[in-house]
Amino acid sequence: MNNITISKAVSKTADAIIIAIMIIAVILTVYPFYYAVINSLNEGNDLLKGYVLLWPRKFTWDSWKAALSDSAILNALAVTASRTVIVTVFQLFITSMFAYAFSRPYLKHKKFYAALGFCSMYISGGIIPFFLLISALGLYDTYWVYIIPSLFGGFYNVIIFTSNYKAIPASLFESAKLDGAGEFRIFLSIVTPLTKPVLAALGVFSVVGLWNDYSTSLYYTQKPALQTLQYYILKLVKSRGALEQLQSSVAGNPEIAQLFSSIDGSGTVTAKSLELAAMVLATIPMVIMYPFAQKFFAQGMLVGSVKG
Amino acid sequence: MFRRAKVFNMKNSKLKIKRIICILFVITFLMGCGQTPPGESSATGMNPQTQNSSSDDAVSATTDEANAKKEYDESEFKTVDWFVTGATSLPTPWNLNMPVMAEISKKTGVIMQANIPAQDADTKLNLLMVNGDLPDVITIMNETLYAELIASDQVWNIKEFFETYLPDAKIINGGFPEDIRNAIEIRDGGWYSIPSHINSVDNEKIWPIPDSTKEYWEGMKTANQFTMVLNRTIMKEYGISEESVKTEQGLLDAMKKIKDAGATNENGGSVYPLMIHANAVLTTNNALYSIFGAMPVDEDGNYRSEYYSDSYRDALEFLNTCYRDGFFDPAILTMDQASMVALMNEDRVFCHIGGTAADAMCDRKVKDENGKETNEYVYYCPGPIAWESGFVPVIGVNNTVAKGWLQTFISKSCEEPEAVARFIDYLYMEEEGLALWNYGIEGTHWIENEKGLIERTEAGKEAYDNMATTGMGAFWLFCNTSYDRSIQNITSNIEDNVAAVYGRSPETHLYDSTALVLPSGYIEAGSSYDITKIEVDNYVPQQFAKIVMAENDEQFDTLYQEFLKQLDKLGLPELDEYKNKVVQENYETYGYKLKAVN
Amino acid sequence: MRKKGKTPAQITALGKDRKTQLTLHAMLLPGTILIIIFNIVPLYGILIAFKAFRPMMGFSGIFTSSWNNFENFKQVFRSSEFWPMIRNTLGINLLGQCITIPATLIFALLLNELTSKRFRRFVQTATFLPHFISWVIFGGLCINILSPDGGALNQILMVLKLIDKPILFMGEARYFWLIVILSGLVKDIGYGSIIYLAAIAGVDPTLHEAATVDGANRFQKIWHVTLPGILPTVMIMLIFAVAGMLNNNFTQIYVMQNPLNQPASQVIDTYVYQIGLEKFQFGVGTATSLLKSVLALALLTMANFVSNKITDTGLF
Repeated sequence: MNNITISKAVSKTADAIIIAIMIIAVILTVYPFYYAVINSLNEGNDLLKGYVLLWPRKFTWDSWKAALSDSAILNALAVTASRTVIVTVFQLFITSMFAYAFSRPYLKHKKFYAALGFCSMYISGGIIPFFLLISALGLYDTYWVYIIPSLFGGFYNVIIFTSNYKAIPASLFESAKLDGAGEFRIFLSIVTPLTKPVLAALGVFSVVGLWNDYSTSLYYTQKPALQTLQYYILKLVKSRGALEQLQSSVAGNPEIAQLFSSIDGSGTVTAKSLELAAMVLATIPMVIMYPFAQKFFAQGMLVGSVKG
Repeated sequence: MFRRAKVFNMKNSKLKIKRIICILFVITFLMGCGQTPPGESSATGMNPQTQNSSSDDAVSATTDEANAKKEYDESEFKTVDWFVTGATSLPTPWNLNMPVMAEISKKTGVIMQANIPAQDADTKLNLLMVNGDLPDVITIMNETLYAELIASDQVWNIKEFFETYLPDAKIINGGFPEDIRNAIEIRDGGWYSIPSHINSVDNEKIWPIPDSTKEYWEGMKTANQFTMVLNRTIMKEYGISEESVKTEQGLLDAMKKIKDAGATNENGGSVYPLMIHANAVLTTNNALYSIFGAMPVDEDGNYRSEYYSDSYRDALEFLNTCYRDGFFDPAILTMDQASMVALMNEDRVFCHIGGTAADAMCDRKVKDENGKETNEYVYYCPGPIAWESGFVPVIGVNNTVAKGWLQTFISKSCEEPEAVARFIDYLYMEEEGLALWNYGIEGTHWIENEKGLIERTEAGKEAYDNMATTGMGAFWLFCNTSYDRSIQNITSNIEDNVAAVYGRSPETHLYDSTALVLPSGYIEAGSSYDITKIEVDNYVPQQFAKIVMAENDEQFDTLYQEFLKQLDKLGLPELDEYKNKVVQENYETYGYKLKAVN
Repeated sequence: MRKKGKTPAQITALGKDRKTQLTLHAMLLPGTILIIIFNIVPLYGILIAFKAFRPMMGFSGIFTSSWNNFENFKQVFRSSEFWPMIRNTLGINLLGQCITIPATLIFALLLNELTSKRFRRFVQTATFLPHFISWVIFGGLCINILSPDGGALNQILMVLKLIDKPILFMGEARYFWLIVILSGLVKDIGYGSIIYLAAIAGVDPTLHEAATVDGANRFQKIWHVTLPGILPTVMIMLIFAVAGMLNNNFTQIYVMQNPLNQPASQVIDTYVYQIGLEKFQFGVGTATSLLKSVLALALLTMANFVSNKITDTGLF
C-alpha cells in the first residue's frame, strides 16, 4: 500500500462520516417542518388533544383550503412578492456600489462615511421619530413605505461587501485603469461578477428578511389592501390566538368569556391549524427560491474569469 | 488582461436587467396608486382635506330629527375610520353584500372601516397620538391608554358630542344608565368613552329580565369563571361519590385513590389528580383567592393584598400537601394552556383549579356504557369545599360594571360626526339596532319565541358561526349586557354552569367589590408603585413554585416567611397604602365598608 | 506643477484625481442620502431617553417635556433582578456564540466537502427550512419533545438506559441555557452557514490547485487554504457577535420561560418588554436601547482592535 491508497482510504472514511453527519443534520432540521406540515393537515379540534408527531390522526385539507380561500391572501402575496423582488434588486445595487466606493483605499473623507455607517447601525432614535418621519414624507399607508426606506441595505452588508472587495488583487484594478476604465465601469464589469457568491448570499438574506417582515405593515400602514403576507398570517393567528390571553384577563366576566368560546372554532379548522397551514404555505416560495441562489455558492465557478 | 468579450456579455445582461427593472418600476407605480379596497367609497384617514361637515352643524341637528327613521341610500354612505382592539372578529373590509352589514349601513348611513392591528395595537395608537392624527373612532382595552387619551384632550366628551350632533339620541335621553355614568365620571373625571358590556341596576331597569330566565341571570350575576371542577367520568370509574369530595380530607383521599390506582384514560395516558395552570400563577391566583376565601382587605376594611392573607397561606399549604403526596406533578409548572386544555379534553385531569372559560373545556357531556351522551357534563363544580381551616370561599361582585371591557372614544378630528353619532346610538341603544347586529334580520336569522325571547334560525346560527365574514355578533364594542339578558333564550340550566355554582351556594361569602375599583391611570406608569407592581408580578410565580414544592413543614415555613419578607422589601405595603386611600374614599361615596372574613 | 515623481496617468491610477473621487462620491451618494434621511434624522428621538415624555404631548413634546435626570435609565438598574438579568443575557450569548459560530463554520466546511452536488443542494435546502418556522411553533415543539410526560427525548434516554426516570428539562434552571442555545442552533445552522459558504466559494481556486500539486490532502487544504481565505469573513462575524452580546431573541426566550426556569431565563429584552412596551414607557425603552447601543459600539471597537492585532483583519 502506498501513500495514495492510504490517503484515499482515509478520504473515503471521511466522506462517509461527513455524509452521516449531514444525514443527522437533515433529520433534525427537516423534522420541525414536517411536524408543522402534518399538524396543519390534521383536524383542528383534534389538535386540542395534543399535537401529532408522526402522521395526522385525522387528515383533512380544510386548514389549507381555509388559508388559501380568502382572496386577501392573494393580494398580500402580490404585495409581498413585488416588494421583495424590487427592494432586493435595488438594495443590492445601491449597497454594493456604496461598499465598492467605500472600499477604495484612496477615497477621501472616508472617516465621515464610516462614522455615518456605524452610527446608523447601532444607534437609533426609536420608533417614534421614525414614524413621524414616514408620516411627514407622506409614505404612511402607501405602497412606497415598503420600498423607499429599505433601499439601503444597512451598513452590516456594506462591511461584508467591503471585505470582499478588498480581497480582490490590486493588479486587476491597475490594469483596468491603464486600459482607461472608470471606477463605475470597473465596479460593474469586473468587481460585481467576481463577487457573485456574496451578492447571492446577501440577496438571500434580503429576500428572506423582506418576505418575513410584518412590522412595516403593522406600524406604517392601515389599508387591508397593503398587508404583506406575514402580516396577514399574523392577523389570522393573533385574532384567534390572543383570545387565550384575554380569557384569563377578563377575570370573572362570563359574558366576555362566552364570546371567545363561541368563535374559537371547534370544527376542523381552528386557530392553531390555520396558523400552521399559513406558515407552511408561506414558506414554500422560499424553498423554491433557495436552490437558485445555491448555484452561486459552488466553488470553482469562477475559474477562468480572472487570469494573471 | 481585461477580457473584452466578457464586457459584451455584461452589456447584454445589463440591458436585460435594465428592462426588468423598468417593468418592475411600472408595476410598483401602478400598485402605489389607486389602491381602493372593495367596500370603501371614499378615502379617509390620513388625508385631512376631505370635506368636513361640521359647518353644517346647525342644519344637521334639526334635520336629524326628521332623519331618525330615515333609510340611507348607498350614495349617502359615509366611511368612518375605526381603530379597533379586542373586537377582532369585525369584518374587514366592510362588505355590503352581507345582509347584516348592508342593513346597518342602510339604517345609519355609515360604512365602518375597521382597522384592527394584529398586535401591539396600543403602541400603534400611541404613535398616531404623537403624530397628532387620531383615527375617527378608537376602541381600546388598555386602562393606561384611556388616561392618556383623555389627558391629551383629543377626544370628545360623550355628552357634548351627542348634544352637538344628535340631540335626540337615546344615549343622552335615558338610554344610558345613570349609575354607570356616575361610575365612569368618578373613574375618568368625565364621561369620555362608551363602555362595552354595560350591566347595572339602572340598566336592568331599562332592559328588564323576563321571569322565564330570571333565575338563570340571578345566578350569572355572581358567576366567577375561576373555580374548581372535577371530572365525573373518572369519579364514576373509581367509585368516588360527589358527596365524599366535599371536604378537604375527602378530596385528598379521592386524589390518593386515583394516584394509587395508577389511573389512566382510555388511551392509557396517566391521569393527573390535580391540575392548575401553574405556568400562569397570576391568573390561577384568581381561583385560589375565591376558593380559599382571600379578600383584598384586612379585618379593618383597609386594602391589603391577598398575598398577606391567611387564606392564601392555606391555599399554598393545600397545594404543598398535594405535592408531597404526589398529586401535584412538577411538570405542571411548565405546561402552557394548550397542553393543559388538551389533557382535560382527554379526561386526564381529575381536579382542575383555575379559569374554566378556555376552549369550552367544560362543555363535554358524559357518555354512558353505550357511548351515548347523557345529560351530565364531564366537568362539574362541586361547590364550596369544607376546608380544615374552616375558611369560606368568597366572590367579589361588582354590580355596576363601569369598566366594561372595551371603551370607545371619538376623536375630535373625526370627520363625519353625525354619521358616527347615528351609528353608535343605533347599534348600542336602539332595540332594533341591538337585535340587528346581535341576531340579524328578523324572520331570516331569528324569530321571537312564545316566551318573548329571541331564537336563532339555522341560517342565523350559520351566520353567527362565521361572524368574521357576516358581521353578525361581531360588534362587541356595543355589547349591552342588560339588553342581552333581557331577550336571550336560555336552553341550559344554571345548575350546570360551573362558573355559577360557587356564587349560588349559601356558604360562599359574596361581597360588593365596587369600592375596590381604582380610577384609571391611578398607578402612573413609571412611578415607584408601578415598579413595585411589576416586580411583585415577576417575583410571585417563582416563589410560588418553590413554596408549593417544599419538602417538609420546616421548609414550607421558611419559604413562606421569605415570601412575605420579600414582598415587604419590594414595596407592596406602600402600594397597598396608596390604593387604600381611594378605597376609603369609595367607602364614603358608596356608603358601605368591607371586612375580611376568614 | 507636477507632483514629485508621478505622471498624470499614475496619479489617475492612484485614484487621487478629481474625476475618480467625484465618481466614487457619486457612487456613495444614493446610500448616503438614504442613511441620512432614515437613520440620522430620526436620531433626535434619543432625547426621549432623557425626558419625561408621554405620547399625548405630541411631536413637540419630545423637545418641550422636562428633563428627568436619568430616571429612565435608573429604572432598568432598579430591578431586584438586575444582576441575574445581566448574567443570563451575557451567559446565554457567550456560551451560545462559543458553540454556534464554530458549529456553523464546521457545518459549512463539511457541506463544501460533499462530492455529490445533488446531495449537497438537498442538505442545504433541508437545513434551511427551520428558519421559517416561528418560534412559537418551534418552541412549542421543543417543549413537547423535552416533556417528561411522553416526550421524545426522555423516551429515548430511558430506552438507552441512560436515565431511569424522566427529567423535567424545562423545569430546571441549569438546563435552560443549553436548551436555548441548542434549539437556536438547529433552527439557524442552515441559514447561518450561507455567509460562510459564500466566503468559501470566493476563495481563489488556483490556490487549491497549487495545494493539490504540492500534495496536500483534503484536511490540509481546508486548514491551509480555505480557512485563511475566509478568515476575514469569520472575524467579521465574530466581531459582530461580540458587539451583540446584550441582545437576545426575545420570542424564543419568552416562549420557553416559565416560573421554574425563571432564574436562568430572565434577560434584558424580556424585562424591558415588561416594563417598557407594555406600558408605553417609550422613555425606558429608548434609554435601554441607547445604553445597549453605546455598549455595543464599545464592544465593537474593542473586538475590532483585538482582531486587527491578532489576525490583521478587521472592520476598520
